[in-house]
Amino acid sequence: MRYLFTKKVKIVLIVALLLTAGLAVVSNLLGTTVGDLVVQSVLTPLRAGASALTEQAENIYDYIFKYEQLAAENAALREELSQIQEDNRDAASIKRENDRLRQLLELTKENPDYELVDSYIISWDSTDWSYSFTINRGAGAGIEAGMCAITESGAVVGVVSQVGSNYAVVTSVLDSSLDISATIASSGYPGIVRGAYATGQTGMLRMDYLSSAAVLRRNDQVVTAGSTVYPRNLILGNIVDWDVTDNGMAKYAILKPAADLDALEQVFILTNFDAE
Amino acid sequence: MLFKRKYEFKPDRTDGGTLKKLYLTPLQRKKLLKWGLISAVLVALSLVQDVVLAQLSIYGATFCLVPCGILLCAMFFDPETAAVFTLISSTVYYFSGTAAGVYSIALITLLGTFLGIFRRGYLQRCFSALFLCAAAGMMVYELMVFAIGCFVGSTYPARFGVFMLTGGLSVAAMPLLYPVFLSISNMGGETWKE
Repeated sequence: MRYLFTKKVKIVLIVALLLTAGLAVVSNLLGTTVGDLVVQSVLTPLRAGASALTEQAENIYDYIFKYEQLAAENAALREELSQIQEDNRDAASIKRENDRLRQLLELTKENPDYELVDSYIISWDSTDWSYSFTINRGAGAGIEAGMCAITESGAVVGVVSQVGSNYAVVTSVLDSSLDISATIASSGYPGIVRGAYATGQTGMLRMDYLSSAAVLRRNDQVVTAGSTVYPRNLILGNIVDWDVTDNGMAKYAILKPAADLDALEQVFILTNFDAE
Repeated sequence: MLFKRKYEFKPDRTDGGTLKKLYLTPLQRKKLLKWGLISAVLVALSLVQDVVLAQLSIYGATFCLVPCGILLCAMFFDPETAAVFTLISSTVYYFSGTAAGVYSIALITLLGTFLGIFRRGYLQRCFSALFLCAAAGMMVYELMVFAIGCFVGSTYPARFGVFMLTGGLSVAAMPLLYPVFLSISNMGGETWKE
């Protein structure tokens, strides 16, 4: 075997040892050598290509073998998302109810004689000229026809027109058939408020029979005058416009309703109050 | 006539071609091709090692395909060729940045040369002999890397099993590389007669 250990082999081995020692010294002194730069600059694009190919292969593998798993995971996540969205909607609804009840608490503190029954609107029966809605409480909760419906902030919504055992129909203030005695809060001028549809202003209220001497200002608040149906000082709306009647004998005002009837969810029926 | 008629005899080339200008004989061209293919296989092993197998960990051990390929390939050649081949390939392996350290150059060259001499002196040129020598070289390489690592403080004694497992995994890959290197080494006829 010694004959195989030729001079060339010995030279190569010595060169290997010297190269190792030399590169050890050079790399300690310089860090990166020319050989590192050359070899790695050649290998880098090849590694990048191999990495891209590997990623493609993994994607194909995932597509082929993990499709069902991914589809099941997708379905589970959709269901979870749907549940979370439902929980969010419930939470938002509960928050709104909470806010309304807090406001209602303030109203009852100011008016301790008010007895209120809360109810939710379950359907709207609106045509262009009549506005009424159905609530989920009825005679069983102590509601009777003719009782007043308000919001949590004391804005008038309407009057109960029909009552069943577990439902009631409320005619809203926008209905032209409803006449409400009202006064302008700042000046005290009296008038009658009804829905303004008949005069071409859908969604607004009209206050008639105002004195020709009445002083009207924009945003003046109009409140109930008080009767057996409505207690005093419930808010009806704010004046947005006014004019003199055709015969010049009186004035009328156009009001924006205080209650946002389009966004109503919950109303409160005044079952009892101190009608002074 | 839509299609070209196939010639019965290939017409002679009127120009010499690029390789002919280098005045290489057919045997030299085949040897050039042989070493080119060996280089390509080692580069491919390096890419597979760095891109694919680097993410794979079996009880903390990975593969070490490049030294495995160099040692196996060295067994196919005579000791002088093997010595030069292992020196050049281990140097390039070190510069690629994935070697354990600069001592890999000396380790792979020494192991490849001495095992090549041992195999040539005492064993036949067959799969089992080449495989055993290359496998022994791979395990000794991992052992030396572990010992030097412990000496310089880059590893600790409890990792001995991981290094041996790495050597074992690399040895397990050798039977897959053997037919590749065998077919490449046979290009240009038998390299030596035993």
